[in-house]
Amino acid sequence: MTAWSTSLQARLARRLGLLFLVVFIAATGMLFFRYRGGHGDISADRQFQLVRQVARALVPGPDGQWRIDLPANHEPFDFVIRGIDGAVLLSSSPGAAARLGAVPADWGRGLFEYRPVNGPAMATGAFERVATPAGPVIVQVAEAESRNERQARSVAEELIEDVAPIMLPLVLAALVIGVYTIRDNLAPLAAVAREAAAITPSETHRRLTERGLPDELQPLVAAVNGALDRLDEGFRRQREFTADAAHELRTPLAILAAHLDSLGDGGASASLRDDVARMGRLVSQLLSVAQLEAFAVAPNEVADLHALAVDVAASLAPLALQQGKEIAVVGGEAAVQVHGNSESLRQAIRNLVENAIQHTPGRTAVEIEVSAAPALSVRDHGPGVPATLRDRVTQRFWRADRRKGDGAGLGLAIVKRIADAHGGTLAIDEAPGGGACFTLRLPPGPLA
Amino acid sequence: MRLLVVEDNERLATFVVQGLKAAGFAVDQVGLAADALAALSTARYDAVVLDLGLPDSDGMSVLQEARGRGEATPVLVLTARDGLADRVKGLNAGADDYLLKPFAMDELVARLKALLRRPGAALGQLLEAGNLRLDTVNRAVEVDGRALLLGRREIALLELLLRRAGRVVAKSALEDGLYGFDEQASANSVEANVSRLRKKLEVAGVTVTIHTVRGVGYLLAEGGPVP
Repeated sequence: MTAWSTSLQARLARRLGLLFLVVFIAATGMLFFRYRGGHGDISADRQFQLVRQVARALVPGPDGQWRIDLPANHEPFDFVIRGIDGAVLLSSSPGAAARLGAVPADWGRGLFEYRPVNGPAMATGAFERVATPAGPVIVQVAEAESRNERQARSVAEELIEDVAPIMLPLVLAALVIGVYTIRDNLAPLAAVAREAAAITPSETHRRLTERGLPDELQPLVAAVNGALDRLDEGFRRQREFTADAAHELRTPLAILAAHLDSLGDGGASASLRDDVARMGRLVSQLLSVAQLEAFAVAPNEVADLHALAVDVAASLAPLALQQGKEIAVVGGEAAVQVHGNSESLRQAIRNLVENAIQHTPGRTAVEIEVSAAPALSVRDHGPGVPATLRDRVTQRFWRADRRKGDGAGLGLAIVKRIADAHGGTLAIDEAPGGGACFTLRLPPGPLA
Repeated sequence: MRLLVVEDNERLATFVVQGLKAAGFAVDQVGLAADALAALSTARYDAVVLDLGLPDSDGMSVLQEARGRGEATPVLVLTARDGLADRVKGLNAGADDYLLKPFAMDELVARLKALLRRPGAALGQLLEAGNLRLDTVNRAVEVDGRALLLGRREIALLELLLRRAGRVVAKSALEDGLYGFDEQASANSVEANVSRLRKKLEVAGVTVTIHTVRGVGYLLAEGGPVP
């Protein structure tokens, strides 16, 4: 365990904790400066506002009678106007002067306590000495509400005025941090998903990346990797078994072939020799299938399609000539480089040409054409492949006619697999003038 | 012609030795890598048939050790392994040819004869196919025992084709063989020579045919042309 846990919870808690700490310090600082500036007492503030409101509305009468011009819908409060000597000059109601009581005249301004009409506890009012054209007077004000009501009002106003500017950004910031933290922490998950999507039977060695993932997800990814290890092992054992079985079959087949050869040409030995040769081919194809399951082209491998075509044509020409057929490499003679593995491509071309030799009638030629596309096509002059069967001929063990024992139906499946492993395609078409045309298209090499 | 067969499977070894003896070879057989190396250092063989899967060691290491000692005897490898890389590995290790199990005895004999026909090998002097015979030392050609007069280049061409009878000889290999560095081969001179040679052989009544493999090269085989 590291000091800085990578768990999603821990990260979220750490970031939000940091946020609240910052906000707490900022809010405290703000309130401190605010109260230091003299606006600390919320209710006194309000009282002095009322004092000033009354002072502005005060009109001394020409006859020594005082009037007050308050707006008709003003908030309910009590006030008493006294002279410097304490005599009541004007009051909001007849009992107000008695209820609020006298205040010291020489203070200038201050607070006083009184008992509200229906409140159980004492309340605070404010007074101030105010200059008027008719000389100084003392304005004494008390809100008509009870202390509780007044405080609730003050607190609500405080909340709206002072706390909202802090709380709103706080809530927004918490949201942003929450969303960001989760998104940031789960970003590696998308990469892991892409890795998982890329795992195929030919790339069973791939594993998902555990580094950089939140602690909550690591056990899951580790478990998936464990499962992949076991699957890989199973795949590997199966491939090895197929390969070993193919190899092991060769020696008894070789003994059988040599034994048949020692018997001479009489009886059934010629047809038995053909059967042994067919079994030998089947063993080779099974081995190829097993090996191609795990086959991948190395990033820097380059092969020359033209050289491979010439090579395959040269090695299969004796077979074709024995059957009264020909092989030709047509088109240009220049090298055509592809990004690919020579041995597997040789095998793919060989399978295509063997297939074409099998299907082309006597006295016709199998033509291999290499183009700069880069592509290689093999055409014969046989019956061709009906459009409805073109998808099926590349499936394993598929044969046009099962009664003919020509092969196991693996040849074209192997070609398809090799094309796929190269990121290429195998197309089957009707050749102009009749016959089948198989075209292998491959990614170009570095010089193309 | 004396051959060494290195094969540990007794039944297979018995049939192979029997087949090779029937084809006219003198054959010694061993079943272990150590015995093979001992045999090679004591006796002179014209060719070796080497199985790769031996009980005491890999056949490939026998090959490397023999080549390391300067042993130039042609080696034909027999193998049950034909993975994508196995063939390349075998040829890189110094094998002259490579035959996959199961194989036909005729094929094994033909491959061995091809190895022995190579320049420097014991069978190199007299090349035969069908009723055609070429004495490479005296540069003389006979059809059914009667001498056939051919030009210098035609004989050189025939020799190249006979040495690899039954297999395709690349056009570029024929150009290299027919013309020295200072001679410029004109584009169709190989074709012109082949066509002249074909005509002369046909008139003489040979039982072999020079086939053209378009875009690849030529192949000399017994029998008539493709009908």
